[in-house]
Amino acid sequence: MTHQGNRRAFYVIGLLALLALVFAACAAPPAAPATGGEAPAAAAPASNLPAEPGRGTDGALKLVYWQEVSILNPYLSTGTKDYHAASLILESLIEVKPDGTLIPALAVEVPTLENGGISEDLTSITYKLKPDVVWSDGTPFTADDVVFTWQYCVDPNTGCSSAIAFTGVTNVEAIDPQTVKITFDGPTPYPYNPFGGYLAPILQKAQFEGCIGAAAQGCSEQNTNPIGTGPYKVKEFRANDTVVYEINENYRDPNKPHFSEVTISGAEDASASARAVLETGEADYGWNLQVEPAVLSEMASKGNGVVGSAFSGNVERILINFTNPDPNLGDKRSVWSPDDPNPHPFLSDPAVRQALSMAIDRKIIAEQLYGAGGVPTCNILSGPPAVVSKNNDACLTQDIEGAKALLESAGWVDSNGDGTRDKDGVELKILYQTSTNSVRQKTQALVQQWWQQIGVATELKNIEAAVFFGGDPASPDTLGKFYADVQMFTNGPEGLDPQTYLAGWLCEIDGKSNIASPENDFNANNTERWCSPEYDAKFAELKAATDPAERAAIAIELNDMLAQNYVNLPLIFRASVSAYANDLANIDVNGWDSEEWNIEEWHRIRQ
Amino acid sequence: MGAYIIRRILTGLLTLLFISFVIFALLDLAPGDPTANLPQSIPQEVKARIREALGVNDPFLMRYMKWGQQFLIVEPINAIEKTTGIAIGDSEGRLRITSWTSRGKPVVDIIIERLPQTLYVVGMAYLLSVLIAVPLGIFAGYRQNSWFDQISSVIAVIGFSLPTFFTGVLVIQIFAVWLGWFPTLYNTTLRVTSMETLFQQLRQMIMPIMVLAFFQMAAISRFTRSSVIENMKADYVRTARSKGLRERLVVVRHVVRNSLIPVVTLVALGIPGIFGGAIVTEQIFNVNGIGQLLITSLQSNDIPVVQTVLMIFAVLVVIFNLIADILYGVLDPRIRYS
Repeated sequence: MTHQGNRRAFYVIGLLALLALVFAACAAPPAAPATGGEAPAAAAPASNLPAEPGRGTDGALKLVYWQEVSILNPYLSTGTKDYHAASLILESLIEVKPDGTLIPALAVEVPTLENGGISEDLTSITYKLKPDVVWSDGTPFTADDVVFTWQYCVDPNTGCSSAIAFTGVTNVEAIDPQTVKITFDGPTPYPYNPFGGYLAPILQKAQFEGCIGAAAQGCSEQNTNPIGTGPYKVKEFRANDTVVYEINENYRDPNKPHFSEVTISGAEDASASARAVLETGEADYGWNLQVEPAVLSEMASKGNGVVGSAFSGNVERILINFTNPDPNLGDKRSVWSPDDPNPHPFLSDPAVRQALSMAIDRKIIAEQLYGAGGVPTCNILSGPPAVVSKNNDACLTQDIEGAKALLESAGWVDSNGDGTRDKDGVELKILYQTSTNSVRQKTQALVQQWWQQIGVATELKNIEAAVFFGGDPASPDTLGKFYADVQMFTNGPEGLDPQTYLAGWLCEIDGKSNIASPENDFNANNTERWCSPEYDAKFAELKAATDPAERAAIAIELNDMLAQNYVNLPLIFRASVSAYANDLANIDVNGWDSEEWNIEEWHRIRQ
Repeated sequence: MGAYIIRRILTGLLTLLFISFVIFALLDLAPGDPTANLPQSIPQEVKARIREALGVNDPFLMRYMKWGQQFLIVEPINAIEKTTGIAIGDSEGRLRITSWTSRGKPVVDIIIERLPQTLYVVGMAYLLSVLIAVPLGIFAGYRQNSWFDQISSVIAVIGFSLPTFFTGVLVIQIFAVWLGWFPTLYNTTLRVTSMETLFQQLRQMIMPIMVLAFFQMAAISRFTRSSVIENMKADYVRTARSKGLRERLVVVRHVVRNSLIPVVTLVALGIPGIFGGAIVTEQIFNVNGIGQLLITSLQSNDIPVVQTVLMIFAVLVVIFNLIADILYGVLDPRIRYS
């Protein structure tokens, strides 16, 4: 049959055409432009390494950051990742080790009262700079650069993200090219915030001179390729994608860094980062791996890498709203004022707050949802270890029956049989809000269940992080507005000294209200709207105290006031979780400084 | 035809003006804050100062006019300067559209940085899916209800109904985690300079291309198939057959040619989508192209980037719609614009 023959011919032709097309398509991508530059050197196999690590002997190092790096100027950063990425290039005067001790970086030594670096009246600190340090362009590093960096950040038009590091600084002056003196507006017991740690490293004056103030936003070249004194410099920067670093030949230690090239690349999310390090071995180091503990330990069981936790002072907590968030109040909703504290209908009762805390099983939350990422805590101030109170640990054990009894005795009973306790017509019904994040939603569900058991009904709400944490005055969903009964997020002290952090619960600072309200666009830090003259008085003692032991004791007292008044319910002392390949040496994950704080020491382990 | 094109261009410009306003207004009304990703420990007043420096609080109309001027005048002038090397006026003093998260980095530069990845991966996937889907659809339609048709129907339905966020993760688990054949991290800094780097480039492109092509293939092959079936029943095919033309000629000259007219339109309309990138697939495979840029910028509230990317996308859609309509007229003599 001719028809049959035709059919076969058509089939064969069709198939051939298809094959040809597939082949042609596969052959087409070579069109990739060869615009110079070499392919990154593959990681040197361990067997080819010299016996001792020297400068650039250990090949390429690959870090994966699922929150991609946007900018390399930390002063214009919009996230922690940018501070980390900049820390390979820029250095501070002193660094903070994972255990919280200070070590000199660009300074000769850490100034103290004993060595005379800190003035007797605690109003100034003087740094001696390491001699013969040069920038990656070969020019000398001097005190002028330090002074300039301060001027750069404090210019109000710069929009400096690290301004907190320079709080209270009235002057930074160069005594001579190797000496810098920082003066404060009053006695400052912890004077290491300016130029200490990754928040405030030194910029090169010559490079950034034209970028101060409003001009800062236009300095694209400078912001993405800063000149630094650190072990690396930028080879290629692709915004929100990849940064490739190469060795700064002018780095002061001729034997370091050991890796010849470092790449920070992006990934889809935390679990994709963990997968790249722990499962496929494509990357050597992954940061901020908030992955479900079960999934992470499954990945780690492959044996390619190790999971490490870095604690600083971050605490996931439930904040109590001390004002009434009833929408019917209109302008008065969640608004506190000295004349009208607008108390919450039932959360103003300490027994209710305490019962809510007792009903929570913090250990379950830590085990099931955080794993390496956190441990249960009862203290809003959970780090550094010296300032952690031991007086509140009872909350670590869940006590449903105790919570019920407490509510009974305070008069909260289910009088109308609807399943929730009530008193004088007020039902214990809570609106519980937080940001959209799978761990937080699971925490909410657990807490809701426990509160249900003690007769408290909870409605859950989650809000997109960019809105919840944002400061949009038009949005009703910011954490500052607090249009809910309780809300949950993480916060912690920015450095080793807790003073700034503890100031967050003051009623007023320098005569201005510190309670989030319309007069400050809900931008003040006391979001709980808890006002206690005793706390403010105790805080004044902290400000005046200079002896570290005394300061720690006062900080613990302040923490205990917050804990025992149940101003907020601390849940988890959170760690940043990182994973790294088995063959990396000298990794010391750091919660107080950049995780790459000692990257010049990193090398591959010799067999 | 000329008058028609001019009329279409004018309405296209009006459409774009309207779109730009809608995009701007929507983004302005949507809540969000570019400083929201900073650590909680950074005080609110510092964040307020950053927002001030970024110009977040400027009045709506002022920002719209400024952006419009930058998009229509500054950026084109800059593009001309870059390509020709001729300086026009005060090129340093002109303010370009800059990103909020990568403060100071011009948005157009970011887009140009990312375009190659999107074009290679999404473009290749599109090309591949067209090249496979069209013959597949023709043959399935020609042999309607044969086993070949049945199988290709099943595959098409699977491809169409499985979202890329599912097939993507599946493919990664099988080919990258279990078999270890392909990388999960796409290296955007790779330069193809030798056979070895070419091989690396192909290796990292295979998974996303596979997933995307599978998804897009389904729609195009179904469309081609139904178009062929329709034409097979047409009177002119019977006439051709009764003239005694060989079957191959009937199919190739008459059926296929006529069936492809609507397919060409469909394919042309899909091209702007290549530049828009594939948001989900790019994100899953870490191909840092335009789609990934759009989604991360939305997440971090980088409004200037979102505006500019969406606007460029809108321009491309309008242009390719026009091209598709013109092509339609060229391919199908029955259609005349006047």
